[in-house]
Parts: sequence; structure tokens; C-alpha cells
Amino acid sequence: MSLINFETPIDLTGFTIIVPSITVGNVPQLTVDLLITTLKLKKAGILWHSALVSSVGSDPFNSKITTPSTAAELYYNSNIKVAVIQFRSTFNVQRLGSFITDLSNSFTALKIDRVILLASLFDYELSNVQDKESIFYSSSTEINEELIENLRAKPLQQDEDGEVCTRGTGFAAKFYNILRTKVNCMLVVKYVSEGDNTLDAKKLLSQLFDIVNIKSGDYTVLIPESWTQLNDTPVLGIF
Amino acid sequence: MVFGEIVEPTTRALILEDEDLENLPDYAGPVFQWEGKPEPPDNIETLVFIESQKVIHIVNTLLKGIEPVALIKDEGVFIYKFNDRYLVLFTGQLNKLVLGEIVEILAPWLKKAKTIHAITTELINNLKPAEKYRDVVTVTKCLTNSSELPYGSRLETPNLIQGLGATVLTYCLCQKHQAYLWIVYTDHLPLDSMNSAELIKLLKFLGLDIKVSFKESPVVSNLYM
Repeated sequence: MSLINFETPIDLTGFTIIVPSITVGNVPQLTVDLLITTLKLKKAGILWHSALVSSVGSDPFNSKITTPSTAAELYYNSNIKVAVIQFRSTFNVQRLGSFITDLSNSFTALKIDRVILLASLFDYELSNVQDKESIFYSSSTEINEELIENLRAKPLQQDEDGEVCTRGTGFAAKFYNILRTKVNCMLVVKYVSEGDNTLDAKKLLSQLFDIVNIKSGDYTVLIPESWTQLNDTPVLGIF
Repeated sequence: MVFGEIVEPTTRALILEDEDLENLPDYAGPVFQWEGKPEPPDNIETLVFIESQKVIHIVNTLLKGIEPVALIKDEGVFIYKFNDRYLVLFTGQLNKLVLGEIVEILAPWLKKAKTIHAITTELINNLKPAEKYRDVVTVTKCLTNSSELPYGSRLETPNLIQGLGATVLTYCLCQKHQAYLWIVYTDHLPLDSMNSAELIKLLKFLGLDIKVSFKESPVVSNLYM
């Protein structure tokens, strides 16, 4: 079976695709949830790979849709040429190498123009707490100076070969190091604390809009239905 | 929390560690040792995947004296023919196996089946919204790509299910093959007349006729039956 199983055939030529890594506070996935709801992205297909730990549930964005959601799905919006992969589960590490290779080959075959990888790291690792408001990045191509200034973006540490050596980004750094020689790609990292990370996700979404060049003023940020059950309310009766 | 215990943040369990990613092994395809007849028959009316100890415990009472038609012993996959149905019992350890590969090896069986069901159990305490199910002992939920739901009710968000049943359903969704994943939410206690009632009703609905019946007990407790 192919890696991406499309519901109907879609031409993704020239698209920017956003891929979250499973990292601190699930901030990248929360951001992708907001992105799907806010930009009204449609489901394009389901990913199948033995590296993916299967996970199924009801549709997180619309309770009226009866088709179940799965561990990894592709969403898109043709008007703004943006696609995202949402991961709702973890990976079998033994098979992750083949998954990264297969996904990288799929992006090349689909003629994706740009890949943006999202990750989050623990903010206690920052030497300067003020950097929490910044995003850290690495890009295979030059980034506009104005954008860097607006985002207060700082480059991630790289080795002499240009490979990102930041630790703790899940599969993001590894995937970036493989992709950067094949397609235009960017790794975006946000430092956060673990807890209720919905505000971090909203902040990262706004920064992502700037990176992808989407006018945030044109959209009202919408919260997915599934977020209503995201954090259990405390049992007040015991206090 | 025990004194001195380190409490890891919740997402830490799912984050891939750099040590694991440093030397990702080259992919070598799985080797499954089939016993019996691995080729499926031409027409399978109903194929039922069964996982979780509680369901297997009940189904084993039906399968007494019946030998599996095919099995992969090391992975804990046993295929039985029961009347006009085929049952796939999965007793493998989830943390040691790559379920996607097991489902791929069972793909010929899935392709030949007209109707596919999978049954699993989950703890009722994990079912959300919690306030709705606070006083419920057991309930059946379903995930399916069928527009019709012949039994139970659909699982609400944000509940997520993992395991072989979830992998079978994902595979069927990719293949646009109709399938049902039945999730029986129950407590963690040993099986009794209250917490097994939904499970037995579901098995009967799926044509696995278990010779027990339940009637309302005058005592609202499972202590006396």
C-alpha cells in the first residue's frame, strides 16, 4: 500500500506542507489543529506505514462527520496551496528510518515546493529566558531579513556540515537533515513549558502565518471541537 | 507520588529520544512463520478480530475443541473457523510487535472478507466526557466508515483507541473497505454478570452465540448474582 492514500486524486505541485513533530506539550500538533480549523483545510487522505502506531477516534474537527480519524492524515487548501500532516500518535522507532525516507520520497514525487517542520523544546533549557518569545529556525534557503526581525527568529545551532544538532526535537531535526538537500525546507522550533499549551500553539500559529505568508488578519482563529475535552476539569468536591 | 519519585511531563512518554534516533536500524522486512493454511478461503462472510484478555477469555469458551486453521505463533495470531465466521484472536504483546506489519500479512484475509469487525475493551474510567459516563458500568461504542450503525453508539471525541483493532480499521479506511471497530468500555474488575453483559450482547449481535442470558437483578450490586 502507498504511504499517502488519497480520498480523491489531488495535485500538490507547488504546495507548502507543514509537518509537526511529537514534542514538548504537543505544541506542534496543537498548532496544526488550529491551522486546520482556522484555514478550513479539507482531509485529503490517510497515511499508512508500519512505523505509525495506529490510533483511531471520531473526527476531531466536526462531530457530524462519521468517518473515523486516524494516526496520520493529510489536509489541504488549494486556494492558498497549503497542506499539513497531522500526527495523533507516536512511532515504532525500529521503522522510523524507513518512514522518514518514504515520506521524503513522497514529497519529491508530489512536487512539494516547501516543507516546514515544527518542533518544541523545554524552555528550561534556554540560557536566556527572554528567548522564549522568539522562534528558532534552520532553513535550507535564505530567509527574508524582515521576516527574521518580525519573528525575532534566531538560527538553530548547526555543525560544520550545516546539519542541525539541536537535541530533543523528536524526528524533526533528523528529517530536516535528510530533506534539506532535496527540497526547500525549514525547521521551526519554539521553547515552551509543559502544561496547558494552547496559548503556545496560538502564538506559533501566528508566527507560522508570517512564515507561510498568510495574512493573519484575513482569518479568525477557530478552536477545534475536540479541544473542549482537552484538559479535564478538576474535581472541586475534594477540596 | 512516592517520595523521591521523578514525575515526567505527560508528553515525555511519546517523544522520541535522540539516543534512539542516532542510529536508526536499516529496515528489514518481517519474517512471519505461518502454521496451517495461510491462504484465505475465497468467500469469507464475516471476519472478526478479537483482542484484549476479557474478550479472548469469553470467546475461548466458544472455541473449546476447535483447532485454528492458521496461526503465527510467535506473534500470537490465531485464526479459527467458527460456523460461517472466521475469528482472528490476537494474544501478542503490543509493545514488542509492529501491528502494521501483522495487518499487512493478514491483508489477503481482509480483502476476501465481506464484513470486517474488530472487538477490543477499554477502561470505562478513560471514556470521555467523564460526567456523562460517571455512573455507567459498561457501554459499547463503535468506530466505522459505514454510514449505518446497527448496534451501540459512535465513539465521541477526544477518545482515541490503539491496538490491533485500530490498525485493522486504519488499513480498511485506506483501502476504502467497510469495517467496524467495537469498543466495549468496562471496569477493571474480573468478569462478572454486570461488567460482561455488554460484551456478551455484542458477541451475540455479531453471531457468536454464547449460551448465557441476563435479566435485571433486584439488587443494584454485582456482589450477589
